[in-house]
Amino acid sequence: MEAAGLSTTQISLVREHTETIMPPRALWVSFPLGRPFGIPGDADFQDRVLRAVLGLLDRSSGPVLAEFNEDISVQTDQLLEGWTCPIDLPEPAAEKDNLDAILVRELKSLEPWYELSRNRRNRTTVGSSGLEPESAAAFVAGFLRQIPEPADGALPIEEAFKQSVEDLKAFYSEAVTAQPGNATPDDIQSWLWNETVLGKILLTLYRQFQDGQHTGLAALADFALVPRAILKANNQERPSKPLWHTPQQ
Amino acid sequence: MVRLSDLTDWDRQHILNADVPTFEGRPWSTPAPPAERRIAIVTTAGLHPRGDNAFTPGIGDYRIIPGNCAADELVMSHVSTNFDRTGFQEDLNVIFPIDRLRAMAAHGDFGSLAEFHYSFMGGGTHPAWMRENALKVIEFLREDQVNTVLLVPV
Repeated sequence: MEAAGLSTTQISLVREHTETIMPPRALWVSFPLGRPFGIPGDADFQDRVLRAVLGLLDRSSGPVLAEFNEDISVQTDQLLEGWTCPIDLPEPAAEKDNLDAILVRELKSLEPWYELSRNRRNRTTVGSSGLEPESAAAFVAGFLRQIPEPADGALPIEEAFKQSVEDLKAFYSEAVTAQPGNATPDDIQSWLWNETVLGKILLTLYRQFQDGQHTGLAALADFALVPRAILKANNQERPSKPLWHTPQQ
Repeated sequence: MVRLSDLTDWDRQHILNADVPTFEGRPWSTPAPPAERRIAIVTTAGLHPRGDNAFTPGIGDYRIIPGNCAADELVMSHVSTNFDRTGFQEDLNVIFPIDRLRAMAAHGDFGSLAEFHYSFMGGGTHPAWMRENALKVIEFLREDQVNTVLLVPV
């Protein structure tokens, strides 16, 4: 871009990578991955980050790697109070229930909270799979029994599965944070993977895909299904360095 | 991001193992004066309008985000499970600061915002494989009279 006459400035999340790449202008921020402008809902804070990164355009020479001078502090009351999920999930399923039904029941119990979130935020991030949440739940749970054949012209089955999983995770996460509270990202992740039927099903599928013959689903399980922190907490083996996917022609 | 020393050893190793590209030369485009800057965002968050095809690792392609796209129309199909999405779910601007930029432009802090912004998906895709599509995006940016680009990872 610079060679083409476009002046660039950027946020740096991994300082060590930026030191290697040496782009013309970069502002390193200490915020967690997934939050390059710091604090959701805090326009003033985001504005300060934005002005700092755009301000690098006024430097007369480079490469310049500047550091944003504010960290995100964890509020003391958050540390003291901790977080408890405000939603009562259905009781553990009776044996006669199958997991599809259990997952759909759990999803239904979250629906009012999801709608509350949607109204409060005036938006939802659910929708990359193209399926309604209930259909996505049935699709995902179906993998416990057998791997479906992709429809003609549809996405490879592992990609359809992945997008459905991400939609369900977004649905759950938006529902449980419908009311502003003191939940940290780790709280939400821990709740989703350790306390919900969805989390249990995904961990079961993780092992099933790793032991199975479907290379696409095995690759997905290897590096794009379960967060490393959850694998470690569940005493799973550390994933190997992910191989870059082969570019498709 | 959080300092490497604050991460679990698995996450730290993952980041240190990344195949980070290096570049010959240090191209430097002298920025336009603030009042003449026309700014576009290029993100690697795997963001796109709902209804666009989800990103696939290994392709290195891009999606176009119209400058007037409503926050409710944007979804994310990034492959990684190892970064927080709850911030994005709460507030689009924490990854894609479009409202902050609109306010700055309205305030006269820079010239104008681009008509279109662009998104790549940075997971499972070597940066070198994005080169061909990055060159196309550069053409589109120039057609849009953009002279300044804000690059944002996730």
